[in-house]
Amino acid sequence: MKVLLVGVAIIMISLMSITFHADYSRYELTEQALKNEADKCASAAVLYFDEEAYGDGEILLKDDDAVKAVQGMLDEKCAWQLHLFDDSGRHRRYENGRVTAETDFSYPYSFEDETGYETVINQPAVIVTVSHESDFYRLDGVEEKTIKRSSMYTVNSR
Amino acid sequence: MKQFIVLVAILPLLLIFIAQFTLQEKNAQIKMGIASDVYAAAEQARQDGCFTAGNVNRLKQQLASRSRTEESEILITADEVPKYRVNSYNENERIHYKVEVPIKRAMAGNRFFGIQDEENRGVFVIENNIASERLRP
Repeated sequence: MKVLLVGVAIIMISLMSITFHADYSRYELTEQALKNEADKCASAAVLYFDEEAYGDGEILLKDDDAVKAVQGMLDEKCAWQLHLFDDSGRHRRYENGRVTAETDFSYPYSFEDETGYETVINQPAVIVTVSHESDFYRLDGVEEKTIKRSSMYTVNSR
Repeated sequence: MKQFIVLVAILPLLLIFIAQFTLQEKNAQIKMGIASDVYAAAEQARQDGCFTAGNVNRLKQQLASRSRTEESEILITADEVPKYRVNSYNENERIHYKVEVPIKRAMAGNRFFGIQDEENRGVFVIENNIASERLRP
């Protein structure tokens, strides 16, 4: 009986470790995919700026186009936040397409994004945070249900 | 003697767990590598405005060597006509790509469970859009 119990325990532990390992691999892959999504959204959103203002030496990002770009790229696959910083001195925060905050700022500006990463804004910048919620782990007791990754693109030359 | 016979019967089953763990790790590393190669190729495509033949061929070679498959088994469908960066968002100026790479073994000891090699495989698919950075001439 003792041998049977030990045998069943070994098989159960093996099954649990394989299940956890498979889930963790999927989690890791999703993390990387989300980072890539954040990268491509931020790099797309920073492309659109006001050409007239640029002629006057200012970089003013075009909110509508930036929002449309992120929306179009993500296609409602995950939740997102977009932060726009430019020479207007206004920090705009969009969440899933809607403005949720607008505040004044000036360079250099210390900013902490939704993932907790703190950065100093010294030039016009776009920060995109994407998050995805799912039951990544099949085993009880692993509470990790949300992956959140962010990416920042800055305009370095004028 | 009885315990030895039980051990002989149970040992293959326990060895499968170890083999499966190793195979899963190998497949996970292959998938991470594929995702990273595709991302690098997509970044190149952003600069070029499309997936050039050279970029596609290089990606195919990288993926084939990473996943240990033939290049002919890897399917890459990507925009090869240049898209341009315009100063307002235009859906048509995005570069679309889809990469399919076969993963040859999903389960270790498949024959032990009566699963044929042909059924014991999958396809890792990455499909996405990116914005072009190529300026209109």
